[in-house]
Amino acid sequence: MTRRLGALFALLATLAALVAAAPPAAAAAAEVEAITTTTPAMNPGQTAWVSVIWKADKNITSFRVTAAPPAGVTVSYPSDRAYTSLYGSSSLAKNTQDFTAIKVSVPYSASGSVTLPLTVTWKNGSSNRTATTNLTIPLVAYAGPDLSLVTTSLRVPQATPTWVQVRFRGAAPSLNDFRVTATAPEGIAIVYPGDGTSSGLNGASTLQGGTEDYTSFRVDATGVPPGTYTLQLTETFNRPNAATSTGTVDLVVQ
Amino acid sequence: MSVVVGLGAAACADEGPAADGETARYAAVQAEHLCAVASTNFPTEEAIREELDALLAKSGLAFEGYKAWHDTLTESSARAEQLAEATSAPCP
Repeated sequence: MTRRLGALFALLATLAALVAAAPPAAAAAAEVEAITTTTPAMNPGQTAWVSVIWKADKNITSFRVTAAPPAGVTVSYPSDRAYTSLYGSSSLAKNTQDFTAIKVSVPYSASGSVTLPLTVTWKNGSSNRTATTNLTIPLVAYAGPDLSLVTTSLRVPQATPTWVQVRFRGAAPSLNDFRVTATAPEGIAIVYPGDGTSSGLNGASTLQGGTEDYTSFRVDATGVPPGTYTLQLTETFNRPNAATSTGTVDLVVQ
Repeated sequence: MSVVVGLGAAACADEGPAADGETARYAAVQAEHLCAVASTNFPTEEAIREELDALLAKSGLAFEGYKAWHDTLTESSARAEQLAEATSAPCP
């Protein structure tokens, strides 16, 4: 009898030790659920912010998510942090939903879909929790225009050479090494920044789809009378192969 | 005494800040915002905020109030239940 009790206590002690040492993964998975497992589709070459909606079954704090992108794919997080957290807070109330956002850049060479492994950490009271899940980003080839001209007309004084800005809106996933040249009627001179042969974008060398940026150049219209002229614009870029787009803007010399 | 509008009995618990018609509107905006981010990839981080601001403006609410409401969710079971109810409906 004593031996049986001893064996029982030993078994109970072993079970208690196993329970105490058990990783929190199962409990963690039950505490937090990724409602989003697949995002809206992206285009190869695109950079976009994708979101994952989360739900918790109890109040949790210090919620953080990091992604381990596959080769060629890059990710970054809001405010250049090393992780993303819930929108406007790091806490998630019991039975409510909130989302995390991740900036994802997919190379032009990608196809099919991107699987993004996510590691989620949070606190339940004073206990640290960790879980992992996968986010799928379907990829669909882009078909459509490369960009559009936002600026339709420019005004410059006839008496003084003047810097002007021409604004573009990207439509294709990303237009890399974006450069612009302008061709003006005889008597009007175009000067590029640094006395170069073309002008780049103000913000970056790439025009991302869905975003706007502008280029600048100086117009010297001292050689023509006031009136309305046409500027021919040529944009060169890589998507990923070299490509060209053209457009016109009205130039009003006053 | 707190006044609770459009809530079940469970939401009347005296735990944290009260829920009312205004907090229900924040919950509705949050639910709509979650549907938007689930169905759209945004070109910029700012675009996510602009989408939220547009929803708040449509409901006559401001971001400062939204932030204050959001910060109370873990301490107000009534408000959390309002949000849970608002997000239980499928997205349009």
